[in-house]
Amino acid sequence: MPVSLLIPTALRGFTEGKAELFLEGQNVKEILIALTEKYPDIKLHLFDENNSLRSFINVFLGERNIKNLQGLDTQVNQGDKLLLIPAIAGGQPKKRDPFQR
Amino acid sequence: MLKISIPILEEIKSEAKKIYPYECCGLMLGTEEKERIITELLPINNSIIDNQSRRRFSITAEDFLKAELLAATKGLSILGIYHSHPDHKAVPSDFDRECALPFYSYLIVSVEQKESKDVTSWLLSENRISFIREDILELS
Repeated sequence: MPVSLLIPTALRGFTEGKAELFLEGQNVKEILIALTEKYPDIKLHLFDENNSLRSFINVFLGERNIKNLQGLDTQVNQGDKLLLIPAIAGGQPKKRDPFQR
Repeated sequence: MLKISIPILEEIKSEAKKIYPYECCGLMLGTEEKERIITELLPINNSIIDNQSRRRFSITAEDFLKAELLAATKGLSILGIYHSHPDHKAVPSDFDRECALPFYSYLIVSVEQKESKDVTSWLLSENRISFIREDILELS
């Protein structure tokens, strides 16, 4: 049951430059596992040391963030489009330590 | 190397001063064939709206998705993210690194007492361990 997964520009260096992949799986988790099996080097940027999806990595099913569905257990069907979308965050250290970073 | 025009750079500095003492943020759009050239900015409202925004910024996935679509309609790509460090050096923090992705240029402008000071740009190493400083070439 191939599902389309759109890869953001930032991660295409790990997918041979491919913007769209077709992967097999019953739910989002299985699709991401299929992705990391095919392209192991991408895993470091998607999952943390606890094997949890990094907090700034979002997966959309169509226009809906899977955080508002069933998370990684969200079921997918043939013809669905998944998108990997980063949220961007950053800033200063917790303790304000002017000009001593 | 990141190529960016002086007017665009001034736009970032101006926004950083205007938002001070909070952090400004936005996306840098442009083209990249042989060279990475920033051609326009897309300022984004910092989604962190409480006191944390003095030292944190966040661009939601929804805003990022809209920006990706907008860039595509213009034949451009999102090539980087800019943000300010009020009263801190223009050096990425551990938090910057934890939330970063390879490929993007992370441009930081330091703002000291309402005046924009240094501007630096950084790329995340592929092993996520460090940022590597990127040269900025200012185009007139």
